[in-house]
Amino acid sequence: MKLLKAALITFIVLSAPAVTATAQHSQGDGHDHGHEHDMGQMQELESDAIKHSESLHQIPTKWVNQNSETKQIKDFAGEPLIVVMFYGKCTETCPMLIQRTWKLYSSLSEETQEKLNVLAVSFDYKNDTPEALKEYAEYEQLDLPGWHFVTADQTDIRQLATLLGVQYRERSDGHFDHSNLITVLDNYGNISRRIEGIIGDLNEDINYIETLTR
Amino acid sequence: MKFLILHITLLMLASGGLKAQSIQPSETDTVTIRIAGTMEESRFIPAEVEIQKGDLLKFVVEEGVHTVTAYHPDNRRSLGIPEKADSFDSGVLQKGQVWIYKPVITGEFNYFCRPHERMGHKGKFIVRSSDKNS
Repeated sequence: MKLLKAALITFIVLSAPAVTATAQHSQGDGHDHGHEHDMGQMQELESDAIKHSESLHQIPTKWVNQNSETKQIKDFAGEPLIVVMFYGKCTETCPMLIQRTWKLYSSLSEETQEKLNVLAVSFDYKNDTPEALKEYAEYEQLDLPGWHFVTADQTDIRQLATLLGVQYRERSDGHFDHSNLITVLDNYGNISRRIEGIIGDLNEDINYIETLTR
Repeated sequence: MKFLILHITLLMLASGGLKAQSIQPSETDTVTIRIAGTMEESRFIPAEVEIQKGDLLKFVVEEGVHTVTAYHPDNRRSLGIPEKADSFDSGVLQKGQVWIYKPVITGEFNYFCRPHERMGHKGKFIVRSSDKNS
């Protein structure tokens, strides 16, 4: 019996990568062009595997936006996504961070804007309800089709912040100390650019995002 | 040694004189608006001011983080400055920083501070035509 169990475990362990490799190979063109091609394909597959393993599309969180619609990050697969974390009643840097996000977005070509979404995630799960986020978006004239001001459970917000590298903590006065960071996810959901701070030139970032949609 | 002291004294006097000279001509045409306070205490001082066309407005941040931002669609707000005037936005200003703006047309200019707008941190300046510029 022990022998059978060991054999079964060995089989599962050995067969798992093979199954993965088969699944990845099925994404190729299905033709055999020899060893050189196989190596190239393997490298491509490896980078593809890395892309998928780090993808934020895997986050299962269901975010609720200002229109009370449920959104998951994977809903934006195939398109770049700008992610910014903020909170609505901030009287320090968030208004500038949102303005910087707007500046980045509005400087892109119309074609790119159409292919791109913005996910503005609030730290303040207590106050930034979908209704409050709606009011915020309308006040800021950012209640636009591609802009999603979202909330979720505290743990989901914390998880995303950790993955993005955004630090925050709630103060006793109800405000938050936090990093100021705009993150660009590529079409695969990988973090492809981090724009830190609330000042500075955005030209390189704009050019970079344009390349993601070509 | 005496020569050295004399030389340093002359240099100091000369630099002081230069400094005074560089400020003097613009002072008469410059109106200073202080930006004071933080959070709900934030305010422009004075909140309303009248100036002559050609004058400079000098915004000086005394504390906190603020902006001087025009009510203009470019800043995602309703138009609150003359239609023909260009929009303006100082960007982030921190304690000790100065931002200078020179209006080139007459009219009423309404502006706000981006972080504290909802707390009433707003200002207005009215630009009148003047004989010297007409």
